[in-house]
Amino acid sequence: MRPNYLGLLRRKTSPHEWIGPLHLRGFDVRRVSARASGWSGGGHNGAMLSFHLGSAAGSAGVPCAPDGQPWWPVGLGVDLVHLPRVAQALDAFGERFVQRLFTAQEALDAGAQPVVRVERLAARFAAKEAAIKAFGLAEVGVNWRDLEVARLPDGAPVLRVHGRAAAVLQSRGVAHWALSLSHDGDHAVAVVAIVQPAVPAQAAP
Amino acid sequence: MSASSPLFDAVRDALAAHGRLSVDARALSPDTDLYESGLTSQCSVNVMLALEGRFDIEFPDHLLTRSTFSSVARIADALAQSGAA
Repeated sequence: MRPNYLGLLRRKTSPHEWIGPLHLRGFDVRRVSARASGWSGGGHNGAMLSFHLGSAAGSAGVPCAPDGQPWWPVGLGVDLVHLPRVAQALDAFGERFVQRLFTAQEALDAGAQPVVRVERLAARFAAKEAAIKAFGLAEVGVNWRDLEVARLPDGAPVLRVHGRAAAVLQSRGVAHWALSLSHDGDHAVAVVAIVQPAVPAQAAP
Repeated sequence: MSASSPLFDAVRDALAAHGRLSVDARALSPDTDLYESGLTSQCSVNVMLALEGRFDIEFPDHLLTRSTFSSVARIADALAQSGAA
């Protein structure tokens, strides 16, 4: 299989990091996008890569590291939320629902317009549940506010992890993850994946 | 804790109001698996909020696990640990 060179992902603004050249064997690169996020708690900055890979024609599409060892996303979580349920929870519990589950910034980002607010809170709740699944935190017991959805300047969502959840991830060596959100009609959905780079990040020249 | 203690009844009330179970919440035995009875994570949050409001407590983070909300008895035990009277 021929190596494919994804190229340099350049530093934009803090907290983005330099990521050196990546070589992934056996893939035709269809689309590459780079996002970066940091997570607080312990003073670490994690770089998160989001890239889409097409498999080589005719192959089974198993991702391979340069040394030929297979690697997979090591954690994956998804959650689907029914928007009317969120609206009902807001009706039943009011601001207590918001304050218990969401950070002040998340509540701010959701805005005040009722329909949009429900959509955004629902997507953020889905993100927290997806993260709990991806990170394997269901039996750890974490505060939903420790898993915070933020928006980069370009609008991409990122997951910031705080407090006890961050400590658990650090102790498990989990440092990189990706988040995606969507909503349509009466539903919002979120996906979180723990990702591992095929090669270590190299220092900028 | 007996099966008809006030905490058990309060849990059944919250499940009836917010759990959206496929079974009659008020007839739940203490150890019936709630997820097998249709409880979703979203509804478990609402059940939690209802109980926190009723008893004016907050479950500590370490009790916010999937297994805490897996049965009436487990939820009632968590309430007791959280200071609900």
